[in-house]
Amino acid sequence: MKNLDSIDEDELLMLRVSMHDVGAFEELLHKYSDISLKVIKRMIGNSADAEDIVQDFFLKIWSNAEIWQPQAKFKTWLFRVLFNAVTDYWRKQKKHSELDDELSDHLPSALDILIKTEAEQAIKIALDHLPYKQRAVLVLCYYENFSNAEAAEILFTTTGAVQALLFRARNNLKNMIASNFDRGDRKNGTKRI
Amino acid sequence: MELSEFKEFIQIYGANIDKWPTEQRNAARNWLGDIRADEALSNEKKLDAMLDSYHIDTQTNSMIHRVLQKIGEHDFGPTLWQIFAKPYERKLIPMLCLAAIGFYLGITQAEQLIASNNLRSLQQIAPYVLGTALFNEDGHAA
Repeated sequence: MKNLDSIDEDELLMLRVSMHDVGAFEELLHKYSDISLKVIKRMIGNSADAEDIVQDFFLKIWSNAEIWQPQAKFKTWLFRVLFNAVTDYWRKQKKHSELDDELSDHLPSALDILIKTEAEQAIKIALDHLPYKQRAVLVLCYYENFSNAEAAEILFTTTGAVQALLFRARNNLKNMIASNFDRGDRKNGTKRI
Repeated sequence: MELSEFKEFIQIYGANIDKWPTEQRNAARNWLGDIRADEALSNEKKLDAMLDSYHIDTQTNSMIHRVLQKIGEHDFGPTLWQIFAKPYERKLIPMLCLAAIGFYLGITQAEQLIASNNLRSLQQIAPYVLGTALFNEDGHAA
């Protein structure tokens, strides 16, 4: 248990939420709903389900607020719960392979890339095929600027493992994008510049 | 920081040195302008550009409204119990209540037992209860 001096602004907010202060909960929603939705959308790539997950996540925070204890840093605790929601979602969707540390068998086809030639679509497809932890560290560290230590705490791993996962994630993305553009080019009979 | 380390970090954190951990950032800046380092950076910049092109639109106002509406609809609010009782008290109080009910039932059942066996008081059954608890039928310790 932390002492009062070491409790930060977010933790005080959450303490108020734990006493079922609706105003504090609304403040928490405004502060974290945007980043939570971004993270979930990048993790699952399905915007309709993403909103439902984030909505349920905040309802769960509200209904379980009273048992919250300021033990871990609030932000890491919050995102740990959020990532648990992602794994629950995948389990429900029976996408077991997503949780493995292997690349998905169903790599993006050349046709996918040809249809969606925009860089944004290409990276979206490639991200969708990254294993869970590689995608998670990329979303946290690259997109949301979490430190390696914070990402490690959220994903129950070490900072060394986070570095290794980041390296593998970027490497896999480069390979996936390159191989698909190559396949697409061959199919079209064009050469890459 | 050696060039090999610099190249390794580019492959981990990307070409934008501002996104690197603070410990490595300053040492990495010393490499900027070096041809070999710039070449390594330009390769990684392509991936960064693709990653940065993936924008996410987040319109959270309607979701916030829905969440607040839901907590209003359901009785998620605190009860006096939740406000005043500490977590351990919430476990202890029901246990004490159950113990009290058990004690009360025990007493009333004992009265009935006394009545049915023509025993007049608890003093009369106490040795029997203690005897069966501590010794078995042969008189040996249980």
